Amino acid sequence: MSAILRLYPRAWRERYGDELLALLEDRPPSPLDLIDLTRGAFDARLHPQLPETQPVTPERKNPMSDRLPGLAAIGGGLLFLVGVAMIGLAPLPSFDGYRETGLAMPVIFLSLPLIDVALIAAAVRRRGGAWGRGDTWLAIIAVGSTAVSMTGWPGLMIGFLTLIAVTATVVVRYLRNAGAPPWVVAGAVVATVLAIAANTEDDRAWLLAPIGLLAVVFGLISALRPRPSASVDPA
Amino acid sequence: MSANLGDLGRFAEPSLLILVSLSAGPNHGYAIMEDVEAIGGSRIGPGTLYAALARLEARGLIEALSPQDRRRPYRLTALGATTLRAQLEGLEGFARTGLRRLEGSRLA
Repeated sequence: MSAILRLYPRAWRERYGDELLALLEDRPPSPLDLIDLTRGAFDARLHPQLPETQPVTPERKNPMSDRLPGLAAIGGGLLFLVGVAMIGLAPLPSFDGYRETGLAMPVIFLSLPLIDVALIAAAVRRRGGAWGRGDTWLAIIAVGSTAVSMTGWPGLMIGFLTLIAVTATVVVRYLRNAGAPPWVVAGAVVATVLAIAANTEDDRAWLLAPIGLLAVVFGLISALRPRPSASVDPA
Repeated sequence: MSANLGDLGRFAEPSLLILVSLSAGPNHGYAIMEDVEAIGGSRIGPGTLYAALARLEARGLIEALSPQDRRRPYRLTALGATTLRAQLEGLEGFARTGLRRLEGSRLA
């Protein structure tokens, strides 16, 4: 019986697991109850509802885990800036052709999943809950599309477009659901507008830099001021 | 001041039943399930019960007491009582209006 409880998030089990097990011992579950419990487990993962006034786990003893999203954002941002610099500093072609960017694009591709995972983790932490299915899938697709983009044509284009779509989704989800500070919202808008105007074939490649800078600043603030939890999901 | 159970989506109805059950006094999960079945005529599954309990507790409408042999009783808070009263009065008015209209029609 405890196997089905494993579907619930750990924090939820710590709070309600014992009493739910006691209930199931008093009243053995029917097949419909098992379906109901499975739905309940998904609900607990998607909409964490633990009361703020009764923390079920002691104060976190590992502040490093609180800083990981920030550190990932810093790493991703720096990697992104390295990629942009590699493009920006590469010599312009002497004829009307493409600028040779060499390893720059793979470096940028590697930086984006780091930033994506950092933003997903930061959003999860701000809402004070566990990773939901949507969070997990977005992280898997971000990492997977980067791997696909390294396989050469046509994987390069498929992976690149998927990665851009995932990154946009992650950013929008963070801004909508995580109560992002106004400076992050304003920074994201400015960085996006500049990125749209960027061109990797000339010096407009530098217009991509604000994305990396924003990720680094966001990561520094997150890492220096970790927030274990913020609010209970109202849904 | 009272809370709005409408925010609870599909857990609004089980939550109302739980609040009614707890209005008789503190009770634990199994006893709440039995009581809800007796007073409401409908059964709520254990997953739904605990999803609703967690929501009610997170909103301060009920509070957990010390566990007794792994069974943790819950009781209504003052906010929970106010909310329950508001909900029941709303339902009472709704039912009265419906019955009055039904009596005025030729169908009843």
